[in-house]
This record gives sequence, structure tokens and C-alpha cells, in this order.
Amino acid sequence: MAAATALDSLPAPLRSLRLKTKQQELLLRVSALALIYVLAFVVRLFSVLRYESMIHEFDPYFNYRTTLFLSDHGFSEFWNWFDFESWYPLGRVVGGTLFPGLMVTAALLHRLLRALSLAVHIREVCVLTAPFFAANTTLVAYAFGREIWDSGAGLVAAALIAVCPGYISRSVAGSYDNEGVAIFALLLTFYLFVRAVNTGSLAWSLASAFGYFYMVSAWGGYVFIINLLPLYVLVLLVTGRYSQRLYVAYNSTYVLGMLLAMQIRFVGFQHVQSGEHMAAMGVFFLLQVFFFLDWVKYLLNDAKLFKSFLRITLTCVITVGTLALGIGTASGYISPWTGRFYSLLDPTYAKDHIPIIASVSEHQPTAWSSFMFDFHILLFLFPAGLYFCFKRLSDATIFIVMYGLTSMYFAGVMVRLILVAAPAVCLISAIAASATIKNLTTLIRTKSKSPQTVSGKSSGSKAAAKGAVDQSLPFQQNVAIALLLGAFYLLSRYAVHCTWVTSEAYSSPSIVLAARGHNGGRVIFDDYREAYYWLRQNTPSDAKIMSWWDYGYQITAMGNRTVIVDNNTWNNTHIATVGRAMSSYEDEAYEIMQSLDVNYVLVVFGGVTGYSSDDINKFLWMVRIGGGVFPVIKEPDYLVNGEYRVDKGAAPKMLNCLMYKLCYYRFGELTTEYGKPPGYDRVRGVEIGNKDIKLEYLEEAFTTSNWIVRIYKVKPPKNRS
Amino acid sequence: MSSDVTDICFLPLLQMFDDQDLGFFANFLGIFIFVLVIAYHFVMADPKYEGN
Repeated sequence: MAAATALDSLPAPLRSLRLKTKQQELLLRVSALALIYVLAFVVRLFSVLRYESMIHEFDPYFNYRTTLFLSDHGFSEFWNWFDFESWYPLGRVVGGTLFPGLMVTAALLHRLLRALSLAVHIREVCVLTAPFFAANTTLVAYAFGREIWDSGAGLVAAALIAVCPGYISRSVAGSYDNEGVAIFALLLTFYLFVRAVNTGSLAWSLASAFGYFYMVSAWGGYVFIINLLPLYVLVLLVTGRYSQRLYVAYNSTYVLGMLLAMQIRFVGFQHVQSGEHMAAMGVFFLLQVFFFLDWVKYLLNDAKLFKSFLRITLTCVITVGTLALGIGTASGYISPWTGRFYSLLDPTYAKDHIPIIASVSEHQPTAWSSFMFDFHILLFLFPAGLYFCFKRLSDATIFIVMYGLTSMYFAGVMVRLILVAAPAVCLISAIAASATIKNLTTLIRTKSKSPQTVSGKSSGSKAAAKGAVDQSLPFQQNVAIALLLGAFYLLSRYAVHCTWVTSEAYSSPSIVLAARGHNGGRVIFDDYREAYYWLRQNTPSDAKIMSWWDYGYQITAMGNRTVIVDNNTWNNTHIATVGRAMSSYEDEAYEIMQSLDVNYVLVVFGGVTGYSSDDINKFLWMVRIGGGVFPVIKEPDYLVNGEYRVDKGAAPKMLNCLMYKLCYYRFGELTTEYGKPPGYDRVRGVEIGNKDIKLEYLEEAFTTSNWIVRIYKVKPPKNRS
Repeated sequence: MSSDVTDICFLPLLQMFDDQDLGFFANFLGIFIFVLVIAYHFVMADPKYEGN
């Protein structure tokens, strides 16, 4: 009121600047969205400022290499590319074994920038693709939030997802991986589908199908969509929410989406042949039955007759469906669920059956601290949001509840899937935050009725009661203001936490390592690139490098040399062969290396620097994976009373296997820490057990400045006597 | 001489934007966005607003 009076007292030209409520709303909405877009992009740039513009981790190096190939040779050659440099001697049909969405997107962006006369290197485009798509995701989150609740919730959702650490972990600059664009595609598909269900519009349904196509082209996580959508439709059918809108939306999305998805070679005919996709097809047929029954009901117009018709139809449909599924599965036409799918449903499955999945740290079940770290206040807002959704149940809120609950389950099974849950958690939390803020601001802005006025008009008992309520809340506005400040405090803490997590935890490229020195300054270990560049410059161009599969993509992308195994992990036997070589004695390993034409062996060792993700710590997985295929390798041979040791008390086989020898060769002469004996391993915190290592079939070729990467040359066979 | 003075005056502006600056900027922007979001809800709660 006072503000209004103050404005009224202003001179006329200034008074004309005063905006109407609708204009204020538009101005605030657009400026908030623009700032959110900027924030989502810039918060992901820590690693670029701290290190340099580079590709991170492992898989992104393959993506970068293929994008480079696509950009240099064109789509046709890329699509038919047979890569001789990986999986020697098998090779890899690259075009048929990847999701091309990411590469095509980056190549198109690069071409667009070139067309605009911006001379940008393709690497810069690759580095910034994920932040760019994360910024776009905020806009989709806004639209989605508006669709399921209101524009206020949309705005909060956009702000929350812009900085949510669960999403940032996979979309910082340099993290050039499929997930970077896939989360955008996932959310876009869901938004378009919910919009299609809400409107019953064919156009939105088709848009949703195209969104699905983009998702299929980008990431294997599309299986989540193709199972969630039918589950959602099923829930709507069971709860009696069947409508023509739903019929149009699902059928159009499913049929067109399926046809489009078949164009991706890696996916092929899985939509009609794989058990993982059968739920979608089953619900598709179920919807036709629903439509048919609806039509017959309308024609018959007789409840009793329709009931018996329903009974016969349902019996027939269930029988035919079960028969078709049984025959399809028995004849092998429908493939059973894959191990990866099982491991999503059952957290213990991978550990028992697929060690290669269980060996990856991001596939471990999630700890509570990770949830807290990645979601912060959203963890508390999420249940509150579910409450609001249940209070105002609609087709759209049912969808978001289902998305939230299923993805949270998967996030609990695998750390990596926190990423898929992040958008749902942000949206549901946004509903809680927005609804609360809305209630509080409404309380603040509602003019409280004065008790005198109410008592003066106390003609009816109802009015009197209302007056009594008003009187009982004398500090209503003050309390509301205090609560609003509390809500703002929580949200601002969330923003600060997210920036801190991004800066400290998720902006490390992992190809360049950073540590704190004795004087508190930052020390950079650039050993990986040192080793890969050495390989490129000092080895024959047709040299074959054997290493554990983790480093395969990096060696081919940066070292430009042929590798035996890489991060694609499509052939377990091949990986097991490498695991067997690493865990055998040198002479046995030499035979395996000869059979694979290996020229160099590369190992990663952290004993000098204290880098714990080294090959000695991964070694037991090599033994397990190798032993899974070759029973001569037995895990107990490397353990002492079930304990994994590298010191004097280690198992004899451990002390003499190839991996141990290659990691600790000449290490016994080195003093790593003041006051400790030579050969003190700083990761394991022990003095090594075998200091006198002699190599017979290999020779040291190169060790990087901090000993993190060690490369050995395989000697040629001795002359026959 | 005058160019030296100019250099000194603009030195802080010409410094490279580093990761600490980015941290401050991201924090500031994040908090400011939530101020805008609350302001938006405040405006929307106007009893005179046509949308209500």
C-alpha cells in the first residue's frame, strides 16, 4: 500500500514506467529463465578454467575420435566404418555398434558454426556440447513443470535442474558422453508425451515419437522410456482413466517411434524381437482391445450382454497373448532379458553373474551419502512433492509420480542412474517448493480483515466464525514472511552446495590429475597424456598395445595405436584373455601375448603418487574376469586368508604374476616417502614384498615422470637353436 | 608514462577470469535466481492478477 502511494506521488513520466501485474510476471519469468540458462551453462565450466579445454575420462575419448572421423569423412563412411585399431585381431564394426546421436549432433553444431564463419575446432564443440544441452534441458524442465503443475513450478524446476549435482556429474564441459544429450532427449520425450496425453493432439504425439527417436539414437537408456510409457498407460487403464487422448498419444508415439528407432543399426529390430521391449507391444495391443470393447459397449447398449462379451474377449486375448509370448520365447524369436536388464532390477545379480558389470565403480549400489551429496534439499522436498501430486491427481501428475518412483529405485541400484532420477526429483521437488512459496506469498498478500469490520457485519453465524479464525491468527503475515525467508535460505543453500560440489567433485577430467602439494599449492600430474604421446611418437604405427580395457579408448584416441581390448567390453572372452595374461607368470603371459601379436604392455601404477585407481587395485577384477572364462586362474591363489596383500606376506603367485612385476619393476630402489623404506607403496601403505624383480620376456620402454603409466616392450622370440 | 597509468588502472579488469571467480559468480547467480523465483510467486499471488 505504501509502495503504491509512493509510486502515485512520482512525476507522470516515471509513473508511466510502472508495469501491470501481467507485464511484471512476464518480465520476471523471462529474465529468470534467461539467467537460469546462463547459469546452467557457466556452472559446468570449472574444469575448462582450472585445467584446459579437454575431453574427460574414458568413453568420451571414443566419442571424440568417432566425431572427428564423422566430421572428416562424412556420414556414409562413418556409418560403414570398420575399425581395425581396436579389439585386435577382431576389429569393430563401429557404425553398427554405437549410438550415433551424440556424434551427429556435435558434427552438425560444428558445421553450423563453420557456416556462421566461426572457425572453431571440433574439439571445442565436443567439450561444450554437454553444457549446451544441459542449458537446453532447463527450458524443457520449465515447460514440463508448467504442463504438470503451473508456471511457478516450472520455473523452480528449471532453477533446480540447472545446478543439480546429480545431473552436473555427467554434463560438465569435457564430459562428452551420450548422457550429455540423452537426458535432454529423455525429458523432451516425456514432456511431449504428457502434453500429447493432456491434449490428445496428433502433432504432439508425433513430436514425442521424434523425441524418442533422438533418445534412441543417443543412449541405450531409451529402454527406460520404452518400459515406463507402457507402465504408465497400464496404470491409467487400471485406474479407469482410459480416454481417446491416451489412445491417440500412445499409439502414435509407439508406432512411429518404433519405426524410427529401427533405423538405428545398433537397435535394429529389437523393438519386435527383444523381451525388454515386449511390455510396450503388449500394452499397444491392450489399448486396441480397450478401444474395441468401448466400441462394442456403445453398440450393444446392454450391460448383461456386454459383460458376457467382455468375459469371452478377455479370455481369448489373454490366451492368445500368453501363447504368442510362449511360442516366441521358446522358438528364440523373442530374445530373453539381457544380464544388464536383470542387474537393473536386482542389485545383487551383476555381482554373481556378470563380473565385468560389477567391476565398474559407477555400477555399484548407491550409498545414502551419495544421495545427500547429489540431491541435497531435494531429498526432503521429494516426498513433500509426492504428497502435493497425490493431492491433485491428474494424468500428468500420475506420470511424474511414476517417473520419480521408478527412477529413484534404479538410482538406488546403481550410482550412475542418479542421473536419470535427477530430472524427476527436480520436478517433484519443484512442485513442493513452488506450492509452498505460493501459499506463503498468498498469505502475505491477502489483506487481513479487521476484526471491527467483521464484528460489525456479524449478521450470520458463518461470518462470525470466519471472524474468529481471522482473529486467532494475528501474526499470520509475520509468520508467513519468516517461513518465506526460511524457504529462501534453504534454496540459496542448495545453490551454494551445488556450486561447491561441481567445483570440488565433478570438475576433474581424470585424465589429468591434481593433488595438493606440501606447500598447499596445486600439483598437476599429466602422466596419461605423456604416455599416450610417447606411444604415438616412439612406436611403430602398427604396434599392438595390451592394457586393461579401461585405457583402450584413450590409447586409440590419443596414442593412435591398435589395442587388444577397450571400453566397449562387447567380447568377454577377449577381455578374460587379457585378464589371464596379466594374472599369469611371465612365461605363460608371454605365450598369450605372442598369440595376440602384442608389442607393448601398458600398466597404470599409483604407488609413487598415491593415485588409488591403479591397476594393482583393479587387479582382483582381472583375476575374477579371467577366471570366469579360464578356470586355471583361481582367485584364492592371489589371496592370503582371504586378504589381498602386496607386501612380504602376499601370496607367491601374486608376487610373481605379470601385473605385479610390471607395476613394481625397479620400484624397490625408489624412496617414495620420507622416513619410509625404499619400495614403500603409498596407495597400499606397505613396503612391497618382491623388490628384486627380473624381467625375462619384456623390457621397460617408458615410465612417465610420476610413474603413473609404465610401458614395456615385448621382446621378440629367441632364435631357435 | 600515461600508458603505464592506463595499464595499472585496467590491470584488475584484464586479469584472467579463473575458477574462483566462476565459483563466486555461480553462487551469486544461483541465489539471485531464487530471489527472482520468489518475486515471481509474489507477483503471481496478487489478488488482482488476471491469471488467478
